Amino acid sequence: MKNILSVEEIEKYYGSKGNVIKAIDNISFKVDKGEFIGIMGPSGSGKTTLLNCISTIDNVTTGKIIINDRDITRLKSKLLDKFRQNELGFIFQDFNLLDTLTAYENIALALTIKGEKFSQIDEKINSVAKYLEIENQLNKYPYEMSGGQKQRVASARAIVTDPSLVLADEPTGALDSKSSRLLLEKFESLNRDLKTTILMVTHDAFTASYANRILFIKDGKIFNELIRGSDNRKEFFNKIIEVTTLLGGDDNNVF
Amino acid sequence: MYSKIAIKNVKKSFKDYAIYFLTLTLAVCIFYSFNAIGSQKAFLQMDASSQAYVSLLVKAIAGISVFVSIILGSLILYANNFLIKKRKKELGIYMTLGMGKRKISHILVIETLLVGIISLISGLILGIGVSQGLSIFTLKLFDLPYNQYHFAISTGAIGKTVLYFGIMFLLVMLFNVVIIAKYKIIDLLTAGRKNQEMKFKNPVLYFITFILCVMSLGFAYKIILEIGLNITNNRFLVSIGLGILGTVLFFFSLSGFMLYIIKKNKKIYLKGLNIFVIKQINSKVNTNFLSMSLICLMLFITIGILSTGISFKTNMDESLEIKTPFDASIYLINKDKSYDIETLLNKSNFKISNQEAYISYNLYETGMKIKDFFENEKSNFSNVNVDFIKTSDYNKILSLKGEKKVDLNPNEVLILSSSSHLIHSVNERLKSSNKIMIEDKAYLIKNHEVILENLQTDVMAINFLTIVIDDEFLSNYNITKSVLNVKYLEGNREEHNKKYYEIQSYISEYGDENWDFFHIDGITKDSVYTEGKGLTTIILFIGIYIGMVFLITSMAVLALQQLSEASDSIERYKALRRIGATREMIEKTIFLQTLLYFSLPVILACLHSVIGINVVDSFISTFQKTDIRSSALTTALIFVVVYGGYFYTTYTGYKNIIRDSL
Repeated sequence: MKNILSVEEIEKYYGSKGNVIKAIDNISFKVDKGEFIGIMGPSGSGKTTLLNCISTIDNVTTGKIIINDRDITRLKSKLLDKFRQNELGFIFQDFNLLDTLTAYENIALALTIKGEKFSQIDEKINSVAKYLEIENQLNKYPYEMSGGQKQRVASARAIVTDPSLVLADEPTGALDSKSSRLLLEKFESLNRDLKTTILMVTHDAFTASYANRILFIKDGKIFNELIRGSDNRKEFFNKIIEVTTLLGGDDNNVF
Repeated sequence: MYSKIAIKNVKKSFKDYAIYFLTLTLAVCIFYSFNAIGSQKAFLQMDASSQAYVSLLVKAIAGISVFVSIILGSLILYANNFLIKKRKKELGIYMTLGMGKRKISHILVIETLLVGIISLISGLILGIGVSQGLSIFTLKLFDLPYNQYHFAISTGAIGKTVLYFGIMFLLVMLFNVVIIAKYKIIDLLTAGRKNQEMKFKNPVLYFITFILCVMSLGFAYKIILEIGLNITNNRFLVSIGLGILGTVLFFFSLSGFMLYIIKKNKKIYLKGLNIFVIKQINSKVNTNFLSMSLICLMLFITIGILSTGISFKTNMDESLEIKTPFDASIYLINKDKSYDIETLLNKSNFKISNQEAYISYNLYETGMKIKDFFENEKSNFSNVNVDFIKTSDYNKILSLKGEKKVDLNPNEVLILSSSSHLIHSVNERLKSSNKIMIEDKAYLIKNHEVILENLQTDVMAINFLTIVIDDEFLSNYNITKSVLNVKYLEGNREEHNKKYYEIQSYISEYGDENWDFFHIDGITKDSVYTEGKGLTTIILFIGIYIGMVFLITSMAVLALQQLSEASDSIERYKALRRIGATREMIEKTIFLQTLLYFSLPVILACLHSVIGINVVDSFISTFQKTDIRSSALTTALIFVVVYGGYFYTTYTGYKNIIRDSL
């Protein structure tokens, strides 16, 4: 399998001299094409910082992040914008849909920003919408849709540009359990049928159980790694719970 | 402690306050400079009647200032409201920290005071500069030489400005205190998180309204172009009403209609951030269509007044020359008897000095009406009698004027008129035929174009239609009006003038008690001039004053609406940035959006103005061809400076708000 993302010994410090906080402390891992990888950790563990660094919103202090054979830590800001438009798709906890635009327009915007030809936009949106079952929502405004529908529109916006890597930050954070399940099943089939590479950050074990592989992060370091392999979701979920218990159990030492 | 917080806040949010400062400073500046007009010492050297007009001007401006201060007061409240809204979160944090509402109000009061004092000072300094220019301009309007100009600071106007704006700031403080008392912490902390609902109606509705708008504007323009500046005509009001309706409909339907059109053109619609820009404008115009219509109308008034005001005045002044061919005139209107003015005056104690030259002439009526002259054309003055004058009398007038005498054959006539309402149609009539039937006899009209003159000095150009005809023809008619025209040769004008003002008492004191005429009066050139110039100057000044206030008010409202849009849109720009929009794209979007929002009302106002200026132009150019180029250029310049200033401040303000939060 082709390597899509390769994170090599990155560190991220915050603060000035004398009061340095290591948000990320020497993390390395690789993601191959077609993987559905989850990153778990309690709040403050550095998982959002990691995602921000990968998504080029934030930059690392040391180390390399290579996406599709390009070291993004060395790209100039103009190239970074181009890179973000072409190689990455984003899904956020709070959807980040534009409230003034319809679903169709929200999805179209990802393409027009990229400079896609207007003649192809319609076709692309329709095929993505069909896949995510939001064809009937296309002419609605965000305030007319449910959370699950909104997140599927956001997902459509993320994958319509056909990015190498889709980054999802707590995608089920604002959804009820039914909508979460529906969305995650879509993620699963996207990953299975379209070979979309997904990197998902979450602190929820149920959400994480849809991934193929999970990295556990704590205090800026990789704490554990779990691979689903041939387990069914239920078994995988139990394993995750075990690890999270262990992750939390560590705190016993404090008391 | 609290004043420290307040000072820090003002310093910190100087960028947000920029529009507020700019508006306040300009408002104070305009308010001061207009109210300081009376302070120029040069006015004291004018004659008494001109001074009376200056003091009338000062009074008029004082009256208008009340109206202006209401507008400015509302504007300041509006701006303040915007600033408070922007700071809801900050205020909420103060409250969660346990600061009481009273103390928060305290901070806000100090802030308002601070901002008020600073802008008052800067506005007054600017105003003192501007008022010097205005003084020179006023001197010019009253025909006083520039060297009479002295640098002047009006303490009275400063006091008045401080008082009026002080009251406004006091209102703002009260308003803030009331608003703070009403707030709940939860609303303050979650402010700005609400999602906007897009209330769009059926595109067909917008389509139909837009067509209605085009129709009503079309009708409004058509009517006004037909009837001209004829305020007494009922259709004038209809035209104004349709114009306002059309403007409101325009802004109501514009965004929906534009969206409808642009959506059809996928090439524009699906390019870069165009969708976003269109929708931003759309939502803004949709919620603010009423205020935008108001702004458009205010801008229209401003453009109209500023670009036609000066030429209106020049033309009115030029028409004074037509009204006053002689230094003084005494006219007598007869009843049944046929008096002539000279006989009457000779019998009284009224003496014309040998420093004056004079002639007299008589007018006659034959029962011929204006409608008889036009044969079949209708006019407002159809039933007014046509005046007749003997050729010999007319030649006397010409010789006193120093012009060449005319020679008329018994079958030839001349047509004279000075009425702006008739000149055009008389000329049309002369073009179509140079024959005229008078008392069943055909005459040849010798002039091809109407001779534009008043036969005497008068307050108005109301020589409707006078026919110069052979002396013999009139020998059997009664004199209806007899006039004495006087030209001063030397000596003091004011002394000469005096006796003409008092003509009625001369006649009643020394005259024969049995005299039975209708009316006698004296008019001097000087009185007509003072009155005319004084009035037009007052009108012009009030026009410019209101125009300037409207201009900054509309610009400030546009700017504030754009800036509040900026704070509301922060989340949207964040989302754009996250899905890959570059900084340049976002800045371009902001520029485009601000530009569109600023130009929409201006564009329609300009369209209105083109029509309006045309109408005013044709109204005032009856006497003289107008040249509005210089005043239009000045208007454009003022407009570009104020508009540009506000646009730039808004654009950078918007950009900063977004950049700081990205």
